[in-house]
Amino acid sequence: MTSMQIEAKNLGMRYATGRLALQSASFTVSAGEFAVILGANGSGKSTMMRIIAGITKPTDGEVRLGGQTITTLSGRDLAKARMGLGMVFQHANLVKRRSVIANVVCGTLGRHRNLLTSLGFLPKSEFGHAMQCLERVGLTKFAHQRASTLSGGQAQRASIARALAQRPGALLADEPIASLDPEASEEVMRLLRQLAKEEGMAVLAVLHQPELARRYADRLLGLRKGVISFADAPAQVSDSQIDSLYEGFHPA
Amino acid sequence: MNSQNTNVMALPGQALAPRSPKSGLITKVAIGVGLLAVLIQALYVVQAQPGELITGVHGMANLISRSVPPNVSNLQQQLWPALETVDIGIFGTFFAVILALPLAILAARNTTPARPAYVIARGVIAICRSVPDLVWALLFVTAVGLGPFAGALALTIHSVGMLGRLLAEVIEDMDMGPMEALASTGAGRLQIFSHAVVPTVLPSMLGISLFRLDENIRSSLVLGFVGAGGIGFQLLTAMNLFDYPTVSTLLVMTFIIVMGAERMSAWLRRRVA
Repeated sequence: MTSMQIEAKNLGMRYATGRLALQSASFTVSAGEFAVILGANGSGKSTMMRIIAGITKPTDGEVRLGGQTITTLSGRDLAKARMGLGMVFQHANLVKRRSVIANVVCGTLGRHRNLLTSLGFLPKSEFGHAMQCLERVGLTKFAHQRASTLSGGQAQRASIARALAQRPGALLADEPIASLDPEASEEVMRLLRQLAKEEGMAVLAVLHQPELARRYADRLLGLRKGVISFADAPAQVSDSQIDSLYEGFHPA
Repeated sequence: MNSQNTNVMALPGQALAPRSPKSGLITKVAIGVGLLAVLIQALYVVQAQPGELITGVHGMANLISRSVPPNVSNLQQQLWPALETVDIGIFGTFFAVILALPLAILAARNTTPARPAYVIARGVIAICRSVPDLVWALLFVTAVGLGPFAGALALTIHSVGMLGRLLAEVIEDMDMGPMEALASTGAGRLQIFSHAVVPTVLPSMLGISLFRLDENIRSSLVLGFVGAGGIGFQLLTAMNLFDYPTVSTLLVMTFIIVMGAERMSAWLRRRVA
């Protein structure tokens, strides 16, 4: 895996309804860094994630992955560029009836586009690599169980293994712990941090838990009404700064 | 998630207001009267005459008395048509599944590659389904002649319609998460289909197909009446010859086949669930 950095430059997004979801948002997540975006509902977090993932095109600015501008790409070129970016979602999104290892091997399908894999066969040559990915997330002994037998935290870790199987240089996690219990949340956060530190990946996550973000992230990005209001190391960010993100959203 | 805030429902206020109990009563009475009217016109149109049924009951009794004891002397000649009946059902189900699956993919909103493909697939499914298998059998008898093959083809085409619609619904109802996850890893459309959709819908697909097998075996009994082979054709012949002991034998065989198919299908469906 070659690590790469995520760069957002002057991102702006105005929906057809006229609503301004993002306004000149710029930041960089360098290789080996674990950054977390915090913000209330409607602050533009999801829009930001969708733009970085290449799902939505911004109305302004650009996103660069490892130096390559992806916001101008489309079709096959975009799909190729996106392969460098591993995605983790709120739900593990595993195919529950298949084994854990099969789910992880599925992460490599993008680089094995042929008749056999299109017919539902898995690329045999990737099982070794997939096993390494499972080892990375500590699930080797579950490899041959059905994905449906995993607990919530285990399933999320398996989905991270699937993202790793893709051999990404950066990882994007959209509320990865939103449906996990506290213990599983800690596990997943620890894992995301390790991946940044030990594999040198740029890891960017959207979270709703400022307290966890504070403990695990290298940098907190505060998003309020489509504007980045702070981007600093957790020690430099005060509680009142974080509270200000949610002001007006939670009636006190 | 935040993009939803802007276009969340702008329903007219009265749609959410609770109905007043008074208007509820009027509606209930109106529905009651309406249903009664529908029922009365049905009784009139079918020329329902319970008296006929009562006076005619001895005719039926006569028929039944002439059918016992069942004629089992030519049982061996009836075994082949019985096998034909079952095999028409198996053929029709097997090939229908093979044809219906690709159609269902095109006819499911979440997996169809393009709008025209969706419309065409839905159209084909609707035509296959809305024409009864008996009519398909008549058409195929003119094409391939009398015999079980016509019946098998008729069941195939009709089942494509029934299965296609159900399979498309199963695909539409499935969790889109795994599909999105695979798309994000750079997997292609076919790969997403074979690695995420198929494993997810396989149990429902098998269940639906086995249920179809049960129904097809039952339908194939009737298809014989239009010359499409199987036990139905024997039944028709025996009726025309007033050979009631043979008719009753065939009816017993029919009963066994139908019950057997139903039980086997239910048992297999429990196994794949």
